[in-house]
Amino acid sequence: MNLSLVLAWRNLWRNRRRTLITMASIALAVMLASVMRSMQEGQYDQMIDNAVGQSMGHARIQHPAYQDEPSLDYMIVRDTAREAALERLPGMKAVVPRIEAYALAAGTHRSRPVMVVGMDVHHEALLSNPNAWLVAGDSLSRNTEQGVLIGSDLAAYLNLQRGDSLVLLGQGRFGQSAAALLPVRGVFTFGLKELNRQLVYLPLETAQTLLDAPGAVTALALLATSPGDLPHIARLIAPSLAQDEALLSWQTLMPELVQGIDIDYRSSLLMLAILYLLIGFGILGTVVMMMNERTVELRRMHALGATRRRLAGMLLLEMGTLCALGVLSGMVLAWPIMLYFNIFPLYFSGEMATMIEAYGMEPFLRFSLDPIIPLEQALFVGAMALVISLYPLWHVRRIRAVAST
Amino acid sequence: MPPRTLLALSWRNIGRSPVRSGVVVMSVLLAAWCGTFVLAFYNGFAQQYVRQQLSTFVPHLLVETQAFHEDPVPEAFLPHPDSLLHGIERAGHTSGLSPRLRLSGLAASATSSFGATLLGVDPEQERTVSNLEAYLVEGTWFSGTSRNPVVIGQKLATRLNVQERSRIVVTFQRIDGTLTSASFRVVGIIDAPMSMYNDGLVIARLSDVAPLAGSDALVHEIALALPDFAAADRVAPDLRAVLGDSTLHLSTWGDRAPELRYMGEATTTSMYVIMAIFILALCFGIVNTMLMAVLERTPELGMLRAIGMTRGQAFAMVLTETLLLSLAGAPLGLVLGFLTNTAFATRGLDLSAFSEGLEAYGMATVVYPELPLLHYAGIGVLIAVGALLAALIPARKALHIAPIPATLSV
Repeated sequence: MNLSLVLAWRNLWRNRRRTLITMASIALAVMLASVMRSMQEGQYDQMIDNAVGQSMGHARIQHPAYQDEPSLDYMIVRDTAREAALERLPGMKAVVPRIEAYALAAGTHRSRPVMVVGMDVHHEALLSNPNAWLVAGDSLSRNTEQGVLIGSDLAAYLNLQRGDSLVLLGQGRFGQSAAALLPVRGVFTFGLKELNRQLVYLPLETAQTLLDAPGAVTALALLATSPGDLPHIARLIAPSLAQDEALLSWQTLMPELVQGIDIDYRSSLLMLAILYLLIGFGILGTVVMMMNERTVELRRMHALGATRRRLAGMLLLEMGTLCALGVLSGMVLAWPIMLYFNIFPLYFSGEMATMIEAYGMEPFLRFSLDPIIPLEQALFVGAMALVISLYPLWHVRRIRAVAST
Repeated sequence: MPPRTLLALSWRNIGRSPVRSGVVVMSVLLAAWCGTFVLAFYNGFAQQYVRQQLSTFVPHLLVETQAFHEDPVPEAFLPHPDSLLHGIERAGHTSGLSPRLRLSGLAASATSSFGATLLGVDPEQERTVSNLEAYLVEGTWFSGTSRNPVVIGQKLATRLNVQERSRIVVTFQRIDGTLTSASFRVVGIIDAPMSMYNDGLVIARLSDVAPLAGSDALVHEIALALPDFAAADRVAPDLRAVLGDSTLHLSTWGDRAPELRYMGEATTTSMYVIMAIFILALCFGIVNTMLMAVLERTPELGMLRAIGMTRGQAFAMVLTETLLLSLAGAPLGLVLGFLTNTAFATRGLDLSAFSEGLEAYGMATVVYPELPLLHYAGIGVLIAVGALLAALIPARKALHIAPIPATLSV
């Protein structure tokens, strides 16, 4: 066996060009597939981040009926001491209380339906943080402050500037009518145009008064330090939930997003499958020719006394080493490309950007750096290459010592 | 050595190693076959989406006032909508016309409220420009005797927790600037697939809403349908001349929903990018296989050179061989792809078995692959170019085999 190993190693480096060609086709397979998947995963991460980081949080505590019927009749009681306790849980980054409702916003001449967000001015800094995106005016600093922050597109549409009054007209808790006249404190611009068109932020207590819901919120948004900590946090929180509270993960909160990603992933599998098929044929062709080229050499070895079994062992070792080296270099080659597009994301402009924004996403594409991606592709391509290396074994069975040399 | 001999030599080389030749021919065949199939699949998917959007929320052409186009306020309505309708009808390009009223407001039920777009239509005329009726999941398209009937989108119905026969209140701005509320009876709920347009949609009868908004003849836009939506850009200048009024604005579906127009172009571009990646993988396979074939034949090529074959001829021989192999599979693969696509074009590919998500997401679960013939030619050319480039590398290698040392290396 030791001899086979030595022979296999020497054979690989005897004909460097051949080894490098075969290695290159395996490496290319790993590299192409990894970069493709990295781009895809990056896009998914971005879609999730947009939703989770902007407004949703990784999980939410809300009334069990709220998810199916987002009505202000299903609110939960806010308890600041409990929020502080939740925030101290290991792995928890922030607990953000929120009220979300819909209302008609009007300036002097025009009106438009908007989403009203009642925010705790301190906690919201860790979620959507409108104070950091202000382009005009001042931030909200007290929860009882009489004032609103509005999106820049909404401000332009309603022709409102800082200091002007915004009329909010809607429905409060238990069907109460809700109306208020509040001064615009600041105007923000988020990355997503959709939000700038339809978001209005109110300090939490002002919102509670407007909607006739003192002491209540529609949800507690939970942010984990890393999304992976979520199941662990859920186990810790579960016992402390009241009767009329439920803990929902972002996957449950945004089923459309999960399904959208799922559909995209599945449809891309078809493309990956074809890519694998073509690359597999490429590797097979190379291996077939390698065996043809070495027929004479193998016959000589067989004539000199190497059994077919030993030849097969040697070839298997050669192929195994080749696959391993190919797969490794593929991973090494893929990494800088993934890293580059992670640091310098692809920016889209013109019509492409318009299309992407129309679907509620930011017009750039940041590649994923998840180390699982090249590993997965390496395993897959490696397995495929090893199946192909069964060809040499089959070839060895037909070696005849005396046929010719 | 005459070209015919060269061709014969290449031909024999192909027959010499059936496994290798088989692998190369098969990989080209598969690239062409799978490539055309996948492209037809994605293209069909995109085309279906565009057609669906154009038959629901995005009219082929739309006439509104310049003022309403810039800023959709209630008071920017169309003057003399009836004479406009007659004028457009006489021009003879359209297959359907629907005058509409469009207001944004807030819809509320007993339990909650949500932003809404109130669309006033004549239910019969609206049928000539859209088939929203086909997406009814509950109730009917304005048949019945309810007062102030409305058809609403599924998402709005869920948010407001209302069913067919429920009442909703819509608050909106009248043309004189005052806010008003009106009560409507839900007679139908539509769930049009994958659309960002139907989230807060409330469709009411024009004859009910116009008086509420402050004028019996209130029309904000006229939606036009053409027999062929692709003709929109061609017909638009003609109709603009018919309208002949600079205060009116006519837009095509491409202007209103650039993402739909762009989707067609983007699909074509990304189709060719995908194909290029496939061909890159394919070429790598061909280059490697043929390079190994040349390396294997070093002694033989040396011998051929020693008995008088010129470098050019050695180059041409390997080039011919690679090209013959590569191009043998391509036409066959294209034909197979065409046959597969034709077979599925009428039957459709049912994806419901593979993804429950599709249906829940409201997307078509049956995809009808379609690929214009021009693209088959395009893919053929792309493969041919790829094969030629792939053939050059092994042929170049053959160019550098010197007669004497090569024969000695046996």
